[in-house]
Amino acid sequence: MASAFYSPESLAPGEEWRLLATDRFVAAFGPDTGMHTMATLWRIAAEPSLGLDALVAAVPTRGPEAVQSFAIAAVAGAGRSTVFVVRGGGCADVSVAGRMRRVDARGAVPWYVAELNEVDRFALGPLERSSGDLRPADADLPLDGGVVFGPWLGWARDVVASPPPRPPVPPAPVEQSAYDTNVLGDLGRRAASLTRHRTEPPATAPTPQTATAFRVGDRAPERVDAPVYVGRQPRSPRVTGPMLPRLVRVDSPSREVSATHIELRPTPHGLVLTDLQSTNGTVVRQPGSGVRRLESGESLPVAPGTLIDIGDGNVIEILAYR
Amino acid sequence: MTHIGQSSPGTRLPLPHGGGAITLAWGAATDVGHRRQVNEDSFVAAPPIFAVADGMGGHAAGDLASEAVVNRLGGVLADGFVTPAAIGLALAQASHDIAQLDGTALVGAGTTVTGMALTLSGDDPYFAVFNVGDSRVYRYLEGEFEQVTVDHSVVQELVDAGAITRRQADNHPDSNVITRAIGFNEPPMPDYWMLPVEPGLRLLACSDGLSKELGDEQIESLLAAGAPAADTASALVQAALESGGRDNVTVVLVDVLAVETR
Repeated sequence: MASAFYSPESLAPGEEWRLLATDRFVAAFGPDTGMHTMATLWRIAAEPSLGLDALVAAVPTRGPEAVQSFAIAAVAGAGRSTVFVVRGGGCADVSVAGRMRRVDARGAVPWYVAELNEVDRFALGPLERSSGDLRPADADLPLDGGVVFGPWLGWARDVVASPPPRPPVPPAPVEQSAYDTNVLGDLGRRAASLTRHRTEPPATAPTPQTATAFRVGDRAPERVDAPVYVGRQPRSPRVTGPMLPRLVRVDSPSREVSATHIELRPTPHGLVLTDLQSTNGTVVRQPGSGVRRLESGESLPVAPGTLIDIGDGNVIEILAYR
Repeated sequence: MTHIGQSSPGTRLPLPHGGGAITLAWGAATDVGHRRQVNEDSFVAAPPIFAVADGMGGHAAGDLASEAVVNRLGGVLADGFVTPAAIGLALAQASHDIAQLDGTALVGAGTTVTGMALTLSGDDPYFAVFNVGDSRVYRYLEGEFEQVTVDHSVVQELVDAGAITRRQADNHPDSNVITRAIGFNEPPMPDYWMLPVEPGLRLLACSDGLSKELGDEQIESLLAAGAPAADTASALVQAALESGGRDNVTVVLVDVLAVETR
């Protein structure tokens, strides 16, 4: 569980940074930032249809409300890059694959952008602060979402919200442990490669879980946080907004798989599968309800454990992200 | 007119993580046209970004606006590939630059921008096609020709609403009224399309000085002729001049010569 944390110290009013956290953004705005501005920024940060560009564009950089210093991070799932935008006296101290580096603006106007891979921890705040080891101390408090005052804001991919771990836990091996491999059946010959994921049947009925991830064949599982298009040579339709689609290419020597064959769309209630008018159709096996073929263009909510066969031995397994 | 980058007859770009490579060729051409005094278009043609911007505004404002956009896009630091977030931020920075122009002597500066940026999904290469305004990206592959972008224009909205036909749109009196732009104190709202990088793919970004002079058939036939990217870019601009040249005309053309996968 990734989360933000901060040190709840009492500071003079001119030294208090405004610290903001949502599940997508972690940000620290300088002490000159007005509360009206913070209210606006919070609304934008909390609106799922708006992205980092909208949040950054909403920070006033001219006039009486101008914010001279800030550091904003757009955090992403494991394996994705983290984008930092810093201005004026704001900076980000970042641990990248275990090595420390500082992202500062160095006078770049209106701000400086850095995009880093393999970010496991970082802290946002004033240039004057010493970077430290970026790990939460015992007295630090978690910030799951909201706006607070403090000297700086930290973030770690593996913080347990409360109490703080002692010693800090090492990074979780995500691929092995964070997913349920709840395979309830197979699609015969084509799913043979999946049988190694078969687990003992649960002693009691499994609790319903929300589908949030998928795996193609024996590739690594992936969490779905934007629409996913799977096909032989997939492309996306027009997209407006910050969440660009994920495109997943599969091999199809006999061209059974259409160029863009299916869509997996995240919703608050789980994933919805749509056959994108594929030539050869889509075969779905849902736990407890047998095998069915999707009509061309048909949509279907899919639960964890569902297997989706799009042809040429390509099977997509729906998973729950724990 | 500001231009960043030179034409290339063939440049091999390695994919990250030892995942093979792609080879692109690209060319660009521009002309002020027969009627205008100033060329307010700008372009960038340097991996990972290929884009055209068509500036709008009185005096030199349009020129400065299109310059701001290509400068910010050209400044995107990347080792061969960008994320779409970087494009959005570069456009937000350009908006800020244009607002600064606005605050001094110029009133109402803005620009369109459209183009394609090399990006990755997983380890596979894609073009993220982006658009704000009524410049366009066209796609040609193996005899298939299509307009990828959808104009942000009053006329396009009338077509979408069924009020006028596509053919009526070409001669509509509001044909130069756009509904989104970079600048004019608006937050940028680009649309995106993700297209796979495939051998033989040609992507053409152009200002409306091309698409308003040449019909789809003429553009398609010049793309289908198969001349090298730089020659095709020049031929497209020349054809637009010959059919009127009433506006600035700018094209950037990218060819995918080869895709080597692991």
